Amino acid sequence: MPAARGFPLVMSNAAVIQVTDLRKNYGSLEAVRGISFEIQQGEVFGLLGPNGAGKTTTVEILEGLRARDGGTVRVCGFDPEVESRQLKERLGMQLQETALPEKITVEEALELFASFYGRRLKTQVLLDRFGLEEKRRSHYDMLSGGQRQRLALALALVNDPEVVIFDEPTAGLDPQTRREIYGLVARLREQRRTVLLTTHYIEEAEQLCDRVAIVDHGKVIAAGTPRQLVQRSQQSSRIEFVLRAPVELSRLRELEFADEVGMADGRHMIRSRHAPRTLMALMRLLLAEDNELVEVHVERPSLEDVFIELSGRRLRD
Amino acid sequence: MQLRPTLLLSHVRLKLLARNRSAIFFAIIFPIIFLFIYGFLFARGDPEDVRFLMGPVVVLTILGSGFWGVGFQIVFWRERNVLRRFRPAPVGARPLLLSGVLANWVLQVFVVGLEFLLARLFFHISWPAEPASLFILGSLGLFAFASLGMVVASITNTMQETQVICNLLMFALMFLSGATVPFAQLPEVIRHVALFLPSFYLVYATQASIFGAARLRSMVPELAALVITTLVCYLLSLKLFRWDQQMRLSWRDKAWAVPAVVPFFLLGIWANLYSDRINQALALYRSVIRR
Repeated sequence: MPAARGFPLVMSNAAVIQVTDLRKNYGSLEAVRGISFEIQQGEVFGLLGPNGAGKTTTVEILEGLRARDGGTVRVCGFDPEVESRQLKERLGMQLQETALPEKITVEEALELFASFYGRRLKTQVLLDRFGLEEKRRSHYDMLSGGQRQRLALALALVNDPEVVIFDEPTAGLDPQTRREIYGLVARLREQRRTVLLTTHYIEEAEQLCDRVAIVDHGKVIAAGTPRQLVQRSQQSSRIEFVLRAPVELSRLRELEFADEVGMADGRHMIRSRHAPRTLMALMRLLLAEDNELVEVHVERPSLEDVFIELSGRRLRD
Repeated sequence: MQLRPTLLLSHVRLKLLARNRSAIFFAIIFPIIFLFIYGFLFARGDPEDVRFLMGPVVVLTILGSGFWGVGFQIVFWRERNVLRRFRPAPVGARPLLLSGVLANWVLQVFVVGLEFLLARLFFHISWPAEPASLFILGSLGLFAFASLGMVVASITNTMQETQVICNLLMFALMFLSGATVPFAQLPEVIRHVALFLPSFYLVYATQASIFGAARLRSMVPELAALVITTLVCYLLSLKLFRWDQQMRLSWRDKAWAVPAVVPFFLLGIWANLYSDRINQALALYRSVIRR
């Protein structure tokens, strides 16, 4: 098992998706270098990493669309390379950069793709669930980017799959459409479906995923719940506050876990590796000096900070 | 064969074609323009001459449909990432290939029927003497050209590349076979080259069916070559099928396309050595045009 910082990636033998020491090369380029993880039934699992990290290659191997060079993979008990057809019946997939014929209608697309599967949802159910009822007779080239993406997700669920894989489901979408997609993924979680999604959006991983594996240069460099990853980070929280009467910075520097202090435009700032303890100490100081907290804002480190800490660069570099 | 998805996809493809103005122009209106050019300019409205030229008109119609309607469409969908959308479905490439052939076959049955109807209305031609033979030949011809188009689509990487290869093949099949320049007016050496081309046999066979000059059973080698070409090309295009623009073929993989030309290459050798097809084609021409 390659070393990945944090939470154990392999949890049990009852996992829906099991990936062990996965490897894939493109010529001399090692795109995936020994990735391992497991995903349990009903879990939303995120592969977070910058472009070119090996996320898409990994999910395409899981979907049976690409052959691996090493390692073992099991999805719903099937080896995607050997039992691709059986697996596809039970898997829902949304690939990056796909399109439909320009003049096909939403309804025709859903009916057509449903015809490919033994088990399928009714077109009306999908139209309602993805808010496409009004567009059922619209041609594909007349749909907005968000509507096209909703249709892509509806097509991924046309076979009522046990496991759904979304590859960058919100890439290039506006914030409102992105929130709609988040809502759809949240509903899948409520339905206890297993979801694997790749993303390079921090907020997406933080909001949607039960667990996250941070991938860089074809390797998992950290894994766990978003909260665990952030808590284990060496990065400090930033506490910004306004007091009724300003205090000297030297007093703030004495507070527990206060690594760095500052003040600008009447606002104090403390960087702390343990924000709750520092806040408690601050409250005690204010009570002792008969001072009052007017406003406070605590900014915790994000997964982006975790990624920077581990890789030395930003996610979207 | 995955019948249901193939039929549904064929149905959708016909609907897509009906919604696309340029496709309607090239698949329906363009062949009919050919009919009237041939009828008015080359046959000068003479009913028997127009009837004779219906052979080339039918072959040009199905030739264009096979290469552009089936082959080019695959490359177009691949370049637009449409094939990628179909890739996760548990059906493979078969319904995509077969539905293209089936949809174009339905369309061409309609177009060729319309051509005969218009020829009868405007040029007062008689109906074909052997309509069943004509139907079988036209269908087999379309299947063969469509399969060749699919192989071209399999080995080319871009739409531009596909256009160049399709045009080169189409020009050879059109101009060296009697489909445009009458076979009788081609130089002797070109007539022998024509024996290697499926379009020559189709032009002759459709003309022979229209005039009742030959029965299908006398064209077994040609029919066999069409069927074998269709099967070989279909299997090759399945083997070489690519879902994604990023998936490139090596020259070694492209060499798999060579068997596509083997059936008509062998037929051409046989016909040059043992068959009297050239004289039969010339005799049919003289019996109608120089009557």
